[in-house]
Amino acid sequence: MQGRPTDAQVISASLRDPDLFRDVFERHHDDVRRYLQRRAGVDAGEELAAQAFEEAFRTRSRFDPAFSDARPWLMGIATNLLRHHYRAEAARLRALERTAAMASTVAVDDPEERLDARLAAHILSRALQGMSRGDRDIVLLYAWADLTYAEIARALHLPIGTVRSRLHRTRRRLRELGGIADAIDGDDDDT
Amino acid sequence: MVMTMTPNMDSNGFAELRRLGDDMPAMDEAAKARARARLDEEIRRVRVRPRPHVMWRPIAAAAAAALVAVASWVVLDRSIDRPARREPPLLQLAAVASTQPLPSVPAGSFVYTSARVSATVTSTNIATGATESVTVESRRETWIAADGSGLILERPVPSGSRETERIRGGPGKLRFTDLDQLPTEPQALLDEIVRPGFLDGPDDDLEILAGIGVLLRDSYVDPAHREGLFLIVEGIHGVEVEENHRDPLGRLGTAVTLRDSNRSVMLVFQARSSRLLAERETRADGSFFEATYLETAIVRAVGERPAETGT
Repeated sequence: MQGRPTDAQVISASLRDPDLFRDVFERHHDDVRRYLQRRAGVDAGEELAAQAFEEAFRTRSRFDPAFSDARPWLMGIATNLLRHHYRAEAARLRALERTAAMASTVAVDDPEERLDARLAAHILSRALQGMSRGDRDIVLLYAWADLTYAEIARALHLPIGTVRSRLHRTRRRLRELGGIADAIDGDDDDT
Repeated sequence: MVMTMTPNMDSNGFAELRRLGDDMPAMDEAAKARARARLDEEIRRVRVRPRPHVMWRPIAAAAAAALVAVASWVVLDRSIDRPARREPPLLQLAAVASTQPLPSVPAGSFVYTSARVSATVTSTNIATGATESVTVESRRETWIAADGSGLILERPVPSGSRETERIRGGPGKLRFTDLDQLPTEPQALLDEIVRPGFLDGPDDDLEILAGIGVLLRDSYVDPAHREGLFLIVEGIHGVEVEENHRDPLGRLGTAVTLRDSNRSVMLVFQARSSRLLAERETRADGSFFEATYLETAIVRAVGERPAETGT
């Protein structure tokens, strides 16, 4: 029995029949949009998601068919687009810091836990603002786009060792702020 | 074991990061449909591209050379299928800025800038209490060294209509904004610019744009930082860009404008050099400040002008 074609197969076929690329959009648009909206805000994220798929279609011949999943490639395109929307992302992070303080985004039932979570969210949003863009790209592709180390490396065209060391450095910095825990460590072998 | 500020952070800190900002509204189907339509448009453009016909053998050889030429043209000029895509004007300016020659300000030298300045001045008649607004013009020249010493000379136009103002600066007195130690990456650079104590800590987009104008008009900002500054401007929400705008001297440039309910700030840049040609701030009451930049150069002493130094 033949399963659903992989993203790589669809993209390769779309070089001959461009209409097939719509399937890539239907498979991944929601994830890409969500990632971009979390980083740049609702409106800018929506616009960037549309741009990301236009760009992906135009550059589909550069997709490496050795990889079956197109998400890392798409998230890489999305992350590159974010480079021109610094203000939107900065505003979004400041808004996150404010809303974290107000706890409206923290869905925890226990009041004490909720307070802790609010504090953590506040610290994290401030920490994200203080990171270099490169470090922020890596940590948010990991945490918000759910990419593995290897996928982040592919998305950003970085050696996997660089991804690992920069995540490690970021984790250490966040630890010093009382933030991120061992979960990143736990994925050190996630290649 | 990790250090913690709160009991839960070491056990779920990364979960907190995953949860942070996870408050996006549900998928907007209308927005998705718009994105789908844009992709469809891209696909349609490609689909309508004329496909090469199989050439019948007798003319194939003769046509081959022509096909090569046409194919080269197609590669070089995508407008055969659709309008050529241009980078947005601010990205073009950023690219231009990144390739400009790196200026240097040797020790003991001064950055010289001359500008024509117009501004609204409101005065009150002490006897009657009536206020009057007039536009005054002046020629402003500045000589600023890296240590903040130098001179600002503002002469009225026409000459003699008011007193000439002189502001002399010793070391640290005048603002010489040195970006060398700051990052060039736009987000990191922006973070530094909005920091209190730098550019008076601008806290809204209008002030940031105006502050970037201050930085960009000076030739001592190196290409990488100039590029970063343009990329920051490109990311400011609500910026309006007008190509082929004429500054008060009639020079063509790219105008970048940001408005709020009280005022607007406009910067005009020369497209081929990224140089700041003019800036204007207009308030809701109609008052304004406008500076048109005439010349910028490195000179050896306060009072010297480029023509005198040959720079």
